[in-house]
Order: sequence, then C-alpha cells, then structure tokens
Amino acid sequence: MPDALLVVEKLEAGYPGQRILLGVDFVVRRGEAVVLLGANGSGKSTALNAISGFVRPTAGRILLDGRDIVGQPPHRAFAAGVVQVSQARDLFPDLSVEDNLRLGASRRPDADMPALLAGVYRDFPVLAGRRAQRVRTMSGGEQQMVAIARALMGEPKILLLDEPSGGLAPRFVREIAAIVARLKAAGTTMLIVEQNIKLALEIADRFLVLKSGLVAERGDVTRATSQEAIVRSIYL
Amino acid sequence: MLAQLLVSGFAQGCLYALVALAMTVVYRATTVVNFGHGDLVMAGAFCVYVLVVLAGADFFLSAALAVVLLFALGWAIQAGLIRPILAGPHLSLAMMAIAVGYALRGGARVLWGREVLPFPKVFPQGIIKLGPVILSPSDLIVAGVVAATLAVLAFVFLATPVGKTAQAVFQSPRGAALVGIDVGAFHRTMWGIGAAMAALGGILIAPITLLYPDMAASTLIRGFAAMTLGGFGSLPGAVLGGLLLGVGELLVGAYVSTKLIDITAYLIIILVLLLRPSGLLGRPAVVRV
Repeated sequence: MPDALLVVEKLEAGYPGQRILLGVDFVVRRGEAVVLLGANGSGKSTALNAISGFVRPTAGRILLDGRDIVGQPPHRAFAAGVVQVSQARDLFPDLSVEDNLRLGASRRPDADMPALLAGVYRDFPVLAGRRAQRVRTMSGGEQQMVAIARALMGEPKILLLDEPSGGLAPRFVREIAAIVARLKAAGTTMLIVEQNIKLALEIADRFLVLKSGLVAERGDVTRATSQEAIVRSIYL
Repeated sequence: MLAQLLVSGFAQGCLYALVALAMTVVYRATTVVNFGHGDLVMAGAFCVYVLVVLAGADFFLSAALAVVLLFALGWAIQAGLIRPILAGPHLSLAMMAIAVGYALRGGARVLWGREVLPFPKVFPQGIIKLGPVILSPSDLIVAGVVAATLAVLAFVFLATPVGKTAQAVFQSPRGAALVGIDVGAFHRTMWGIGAAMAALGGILIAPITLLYPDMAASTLIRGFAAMTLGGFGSLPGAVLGGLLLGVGELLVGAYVSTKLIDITAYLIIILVLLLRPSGLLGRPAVVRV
C-alpha cells in the first residue's frame, strides 16, 4: 500500500499473565484519521501503547514509514515520529503551559521552537493567554488542549490520541472534536481510541473494531455508517 | 566563643551540605531518597585509600579516579538494582537503597574489619587566625568545594535544559517518556552524579573523621537532616540545612550539653517534619494530576 504510514501486522501484546492482542492487523494511511473502537478491555489502549513503546509486543511487526519500530522504547518511538496523547494526559502539573509545550519539542534537535510555539498558540488561542499558568490549575478540558498541543510540538508523523474526550464536560468534548477536525484538515495522520462512538464517527475516516484481541470489523466512515450497527458489533 | 562556634559550625555544616546536595540531586531527578548514600561516601573514601596507600598512586589522580569509579557504581546500582523495581512501591526503592548501602559496608568490614584507618594527609596543615576565630585550611577548602558544587548544580539545574528535564522526569516519568526523554538514561546518569558527589564528600570527610566502614551512618543521618531542614528537592535548601545543622550541633553542644550533639540531627528531623514538613526552602508536597 504505497500511501501507508503505519502498518501493524499480526501484533500480539499484553501484560504478565494476560494476553490482550492476539494478532492485530491494520494500516493507517498518510493524512487519515482512523478510530479504534471496542469494549472495555478489548485492547484499544494496549494497541496504542504497543505502537508508542510503553508495552512490549510479544510478536508481530509495526512499520512506520517502512521502518520496523516494534519493541522500541518510548523515546525511540518518539524519535521515529510516533507521538501519543495518553488517556491520563501525563502533563507536568507544576510547570507552566509554555514549559510543557517547550518540553514537547525538546527532543527534536532541529525544531524551530518560536515557529512551533506560534503555530500552537494560533491553533489553541486559549493557551496563548495562559502560557505562564501552571497546568495543575487548569480544568480538565484545558489540560487536554495542553496535552494535544504538547504532542503537536513534537511534530508527529502519526499522532496517537487515547480517549481525547474521556472525562470531559460536553462543552469541551465539542471543542476537542473541533480541534481533531482541524488537525485532520491540516493533514495530520491520527490513530484515535475513543469510547464516544458518535464523536468517533464524526472525526474519523475509517474505523476498526477490536474484539477478543483481534480486529473484528473495519470500514470507511460514510454517511451510511450506522452507529447502532457498530455498537452491535462491539458488544454482541 | 560564639564567633568560633559559628565559624566551626559553618565549616562542619559545609560537609553536611555536600552530602545533602548529592542526595538532593538524586531525589530531584528520580523521586528516590538514597538511604544508602552514606555508604557511597564511605566507598569513595576507601577507593582513594586503596589507590593512594596501597597502590601508591598520586592523591589527586586517585581522587579523580574515585569520582569516576563511583559514578560508574551509581550508574550500575540504578541500572541493575533500582530500575527493575522502579514500578513497585516507594518503600521497595528505599529498602533496596538501604540494602545496597549495607552490602557496601559489609564488604568494607570483610576487607578492613572495624579498624579505624588514617586517611592520607591532603590538606595543608596549620591554622588561620581571623581575630579571635581560628580556622584550618581544610575548613576553607571544604567551604570552597561546597560553594563551587552548589554553583555548578545551580547553573545546570536553573540555566540549562537539564533543569526542566529533571522537573519533567520528577513530575511525570511517563509524561517525560511521551515527549521523547530517555527516562532510564536520565535516572542512571543522575544516580551516577549523586554517587560521584558522594566520592567527593568521602574524600573531604575522611581526613576529618578518619576512615572506617561505619563512618557512613552519621554522615547519612546528617545529610538527611540537612535535606529535611532545607526542604526536599531544594538545592539551596540542602546547603542552608547543612550549614544550620552544623552550627546548631556546636551551639547545642556548647550551651546545652555535649551529649546532645549526636542527636541534634534526629531532633531536627522530628521538629521539621512536625512543624514545617516542606522545610525552610521546599515547596509543599504536590498532588499529581
């Protein structure tokens, strides 16, 4: 597949005494947003963590731009271009917004820091006015914006978003959806785990349903895509 | 007499400050208080003893070699013993640090028994008179080393990206990994630097305390007390805590009872933890988001 950016082949991964992924295959093409759906415990976050290096796969391959990154530790996966926004956000709570953002690009030796910051503040104007604010004092939605903005500072080839709307008030869910839509329009390649199926289908080009450690269903998101059918595929 | 007590206490406190500074570096970068640090101080001093007295090497070359060897030892302790249990409870990390310290102490006892050995004379002898106050050249050298170490650490942690990296790793190791920081390598390096500083402390302390395998016990508790008093994680706090402890010990000894000198550090730990847990210059404990 010539435009494939991320190729996951027969991926097996899990935790001691618990096999979660039993041979997952999928592809993410350049510039598209793919959403991973599935019930709790189906392995969605494990798949993201295996790609970003936080979980060591036991078998399979993960090719990014043709280069196998399977089993690489997180800092090497980052160097290869995989940048993740984790479910817990994992921000630096006692540092300012700008320090968090700068750290996002601190391991990109060729990064043009002023240009990156200007770009992020343009895309997230609410952060521009709060650049000196300590992150711990911000709301959950604002922290999620910092987390996404920090990831963008790392100039990802592929952005992994783990439940970007998780635990947020409806107002912020709409805002995060708008941000993801803007990123998609700008050509950012994304692999997204999302529990909110309505939101997922709004923002994704394609969907994958994980079930019992395997991809049970996959398809393009079109106007005809039925939310009910996907829910049935996940839970029945 | 008061002036002499203050100056001598200051000199004594510089040694405690050096120990506290090294423990603070490891704590700031890894959130681990190295309760085995005192034994690394002892190991550094014994390294120099072996090289100078037994192998006949030059003192300064030996001191430099001891610092490098201890860096490697600290690096190896983190890589081999701390890293595998890093995801476990903090208590396990503390117990491992204590166990490593006792293992080093046990090794020294096997080789040298409980004998008290003279350390090579490295500081110029004699006294320096400043009015009614008498100082030894070693006091000035130790104070100079502590000031230089603090200046270097302050520069590195406040004026270079290392400082922000350390804060990031301290506040969220996973977050640090998410932005591409090699957290493991950073931890190993900081343990190495902490152990190298322990060697430096050993080289400065041993000429005063003399050399024996158990010399670490009092060193550790005083370093820990200095850290507590100054505030965990604060570099200036470590120095301030060390100096106040050094002066406090002598004042208590002179005006209350010499029998209390050895327990001053413990009293300080109790009082600070009760009255001001964040210490003089530390920040209140953070709650992670």
